[in-house]
Amino acid sequence: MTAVREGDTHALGALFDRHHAALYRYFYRMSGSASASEDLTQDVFLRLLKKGETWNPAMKFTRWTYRIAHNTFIDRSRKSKWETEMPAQHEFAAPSGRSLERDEEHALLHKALLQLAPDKRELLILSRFQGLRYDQIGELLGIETNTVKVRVFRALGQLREAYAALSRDPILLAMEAKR
Amino acid sequence: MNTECSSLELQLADYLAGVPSAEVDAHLAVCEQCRASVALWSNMAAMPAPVAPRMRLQLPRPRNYWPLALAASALLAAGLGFYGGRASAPSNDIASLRKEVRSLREVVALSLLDQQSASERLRGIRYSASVDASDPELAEALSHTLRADPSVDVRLAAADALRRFPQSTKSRESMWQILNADDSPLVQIAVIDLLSEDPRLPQLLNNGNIHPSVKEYVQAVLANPQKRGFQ
Repeated sequence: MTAVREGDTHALGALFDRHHAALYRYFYRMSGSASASEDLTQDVFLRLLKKGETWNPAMKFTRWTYRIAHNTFIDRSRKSKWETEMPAQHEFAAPSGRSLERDEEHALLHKALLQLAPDKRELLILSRFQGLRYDQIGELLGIETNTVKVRVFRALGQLREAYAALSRDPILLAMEAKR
Repeated sequence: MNTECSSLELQLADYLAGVPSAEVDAHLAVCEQCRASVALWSNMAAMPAPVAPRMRLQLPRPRNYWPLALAASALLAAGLGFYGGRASAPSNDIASLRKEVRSLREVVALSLLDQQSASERLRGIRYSASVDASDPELAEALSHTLRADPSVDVRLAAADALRRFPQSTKSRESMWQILNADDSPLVQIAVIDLLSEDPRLPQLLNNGNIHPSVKEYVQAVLANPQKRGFQ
């Protein structure tokens, strides 16, 4: 990152190769749109190049990157609305022992996640999918660790309710059965 | 959420993170909602991860047609307005303006194809539909997009747009190279559709780079040449 701070774009390319997939997954879970996630991932690295001089070596690079990703998502969601779609199968990794019922369950869960307010969705994504600890999320979002814990558990409760409502929706269930 | 749930929120969050707690276990035994939340948390871990497409870093390029396109657009709009107000504009001037409008569309489409954002490039491909299919520069730009764009969605759209362009020997050779280089089965199928009349199609059945499901598609196409494209 020190080289990037001095304007070395080759070094930025190396950082991109190492971190872009995790950022793409974060954006995909946040936006539900594959093309928006590609754009947002590229935007993060442009911002890294532009804001390189503001990087504090005391802060771990990954967390600084997530902070930029968080700001990038907020800025872009203010300016434009992207279409969220039911995910296509090829957009997800195929675990072994996959079943149709399980796929439907995960598609509904993905949809339920997209129904949450972005700040609540982000807490669940960072803690469950991106592997960040509560204290790291607190540092990233500028809130106390205990506040993160309370908010994560409450967001999980809201996700449970959204998921239960979707699971009961006969129209959605019929659409899922056709997919 | 009842009072007991609220008083245990911190411990419940720690429990989710793998910190064992007898107090939480006792609560879960009697609280259906919290038990469902914990079960959902476990279920989330089993969700498949989104697959990141093949991407490469794209830094802003100095080349940009937009100012030119906007200026030309303003000039053309003024010109069309002028002639629109005249009862008998010379037909050769109108023809000349139409030609310029066509070239302006081409400039805009090429400019969009050159953008950093995948959605802008998709817009460029959609825009290319309004440009004359005999334009070799646009065909070459779409062909380049199909060959090198980091986004599978954009490559697929480029393949679709290329259907209406006449194919030269050079462009067909380029398609064969794409089949050997592109690792997306969806893109491979789209390119095979573009090469539908090519007598070398059976060779793909012995090509190691071709995905097995794509080979099945080739076999189906060879057995029934009318059945092309996604059904």
